[in-house]
Amino acid sequence: MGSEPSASVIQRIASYNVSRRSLFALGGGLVAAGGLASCAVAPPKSGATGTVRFAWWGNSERQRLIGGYASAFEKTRDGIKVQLEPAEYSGFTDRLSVQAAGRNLPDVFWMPANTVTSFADGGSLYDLEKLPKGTIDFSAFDTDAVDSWRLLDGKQFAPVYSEYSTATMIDRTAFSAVGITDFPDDEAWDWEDLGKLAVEYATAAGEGNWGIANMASFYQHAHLWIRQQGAEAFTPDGKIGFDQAALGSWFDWWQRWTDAGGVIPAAVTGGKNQWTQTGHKSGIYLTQLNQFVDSQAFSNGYDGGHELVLAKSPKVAGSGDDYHFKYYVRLCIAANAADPELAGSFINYMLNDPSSAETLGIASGVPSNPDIVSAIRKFDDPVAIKVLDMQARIDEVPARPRPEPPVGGSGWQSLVERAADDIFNGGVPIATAVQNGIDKLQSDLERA
Amino acid sequence: MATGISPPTRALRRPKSRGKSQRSAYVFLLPWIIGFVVITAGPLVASLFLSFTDYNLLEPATWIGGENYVTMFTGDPRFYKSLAVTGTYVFVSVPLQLIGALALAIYLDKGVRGLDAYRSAYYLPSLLGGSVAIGLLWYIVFGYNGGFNTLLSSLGFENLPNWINNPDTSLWTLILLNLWTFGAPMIIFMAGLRQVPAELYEQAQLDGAGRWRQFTNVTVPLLTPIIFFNLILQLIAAFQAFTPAFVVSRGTGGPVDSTMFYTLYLYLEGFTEFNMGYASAMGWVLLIIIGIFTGLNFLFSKYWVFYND
Repeated sequence: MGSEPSASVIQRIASYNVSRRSLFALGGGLVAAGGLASCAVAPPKSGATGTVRFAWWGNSERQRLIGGYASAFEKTRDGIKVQLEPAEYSGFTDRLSVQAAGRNLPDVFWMPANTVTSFADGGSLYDLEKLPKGTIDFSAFDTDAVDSWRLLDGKQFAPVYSEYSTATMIDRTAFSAVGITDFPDDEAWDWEDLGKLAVEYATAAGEGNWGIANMASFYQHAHLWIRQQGAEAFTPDGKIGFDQAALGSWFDWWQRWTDAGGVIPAAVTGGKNQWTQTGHKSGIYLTQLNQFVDSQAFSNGYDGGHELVLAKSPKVAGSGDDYHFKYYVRLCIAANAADPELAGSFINYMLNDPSSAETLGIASGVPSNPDIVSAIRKFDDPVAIKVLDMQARIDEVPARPRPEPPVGGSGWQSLVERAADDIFNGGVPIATAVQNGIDKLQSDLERA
Repeated sequence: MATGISPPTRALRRPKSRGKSQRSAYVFLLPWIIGFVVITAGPLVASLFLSFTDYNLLEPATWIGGENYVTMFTGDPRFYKSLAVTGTYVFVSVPLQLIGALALAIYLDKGVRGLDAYRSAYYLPSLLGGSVAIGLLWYIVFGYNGGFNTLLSSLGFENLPNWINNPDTSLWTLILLNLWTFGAPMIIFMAGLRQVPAELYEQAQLDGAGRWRQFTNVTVPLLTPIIFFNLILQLIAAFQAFTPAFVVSRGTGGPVDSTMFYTLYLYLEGFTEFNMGYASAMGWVLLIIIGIFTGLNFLFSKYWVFYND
């Protein structure tokens, strides 16, 4: 936040005899210069009919693909412009919050699960059922699914654009190279099996290799763990749905298998535990199905190309079968959108236009529109087929509902991440770290 | 008998053109005045108001009086942690940076060949030091497999840590990053050194003063306004440091809050936790802290700063 004085200003001091007055004058000049330098020209405010501001998140490749597809909306009728406002995921919600406070939200934007209820409750989202009938065509979708997307008082604020579950990713090439070709049956395996497999690979691959990175901070997998114990992140009435023991046992698992040599120690990866960040030091990865395309593309360029395969997530021994869940990428219209009807048409285009099967495929997960999914299958891309097959296998088993985080519940992700940091980098006892996180989340919920 | 002397009325009367000239002045000042009110004074007053509210950015602010300040001082250990981290950063890195800058300025002032090139090279990190790119570079250099560990390994050191991800060392890597940006105070010191009259050194030499004595009795006293100026400038900048911690800790202030700078915590409260009322209160507390330290510096400056006027 602090700014350094410019070289030209500093050079000018050489021409001064240093006096109290000149010193203060110089200081004042620097402050004024810094103030002016920090001013930024505000982006032009949308309002012209025919322009849709659209914001979404993703890495550069996803930004390129989605941006190209969104821009093609301009060809659907004359006089339409799409103004693209992409961002990396880490800063996306922060930016939306500031825009919401300034009543300057994009007309249409993606919304992650953790904050959708807060935005809806804060009056930032447009109720899509106020749009003229037929603006958004849900006929291709399952009615129950569409109804399940409703929030708060049953309003349709945020239909689901794409969805994904969690799964396990295995580097088959790396495993084959060390002579491991038989994997546990992923319909029946549990976390114990995964830990043993990680140690087996680490042992076979030798020094500098481990089975899996320390992914204790990955909150979606922690969520799966909690559900496998019959608990939930949040109850339907917006309360915390798990206790210290349920989440603490997740960290216990990581500690145990780190000690056994199967997990990359936190010090080695320095908190960078994504598949694309650990440099193939491990052979197993807990993935989200919307990340698999990027992971495979990354591994294609490693050591002549590594083939990745998907397996179902392991389960806690003795758990039921209804624990799987899907996270959603939702599409929203700003409550103060310049032209809600045009924005609705754009959402309809995003949800239903068949060209997305070819141009986007599964770039951001599995499209919620079953017709688009069928169309993607026809292209017979092996990577996409792996993802679609895994999602279909997961969807075959009925799952209990997953309530969205309530207002004030966006800190759930931070809870898991901070507890993992405290435990594996700071040596804080697991029970203490988890209880501190739960207390903080409870405080956030009460304040909201 | 009154012998009044009539005042020179002509002299007191305003020239006709003066009012016009003042109006012109205000017209020229208008862009700055508008900018000051809209961009500085307005948000300042707004943030003072918000500091007494519960405001989550999405819903209207609710007045809660001094609750944010009470929570900050009585119920938020992370607030004190962020103060401790920032305090360590400020009180270690600023003196070290100024000492390094002064030492180099004195060395370069001796008329080194290629002075302009050196000056530019040393100033460059000041322009880049607070940038995202350098933060990322730092992350890589001090990582487990980074350049720093590679260097130490080649010297025979073993079991080296991930300096960035170790709570005992992470802050010190950021202090090192700040030391690296000594270029700006160095150039100011060089400018100040050129203002020291050469005859004072000649006189000191005639009196038998050696180099160290000349430095302590001539250079330093005459340089105190510059030292004071640099101190104030770097102190304020260090209290507001944000980018290095944000980039190196990936916006978390970790590991274990060891890089939780005050401004980073303020940012997290405001934009990640949607607790903008609390963040505004933190902003005002920081303003007061900086004001106190700046004021103390001015107060004590009369004991050690020597002005020519």
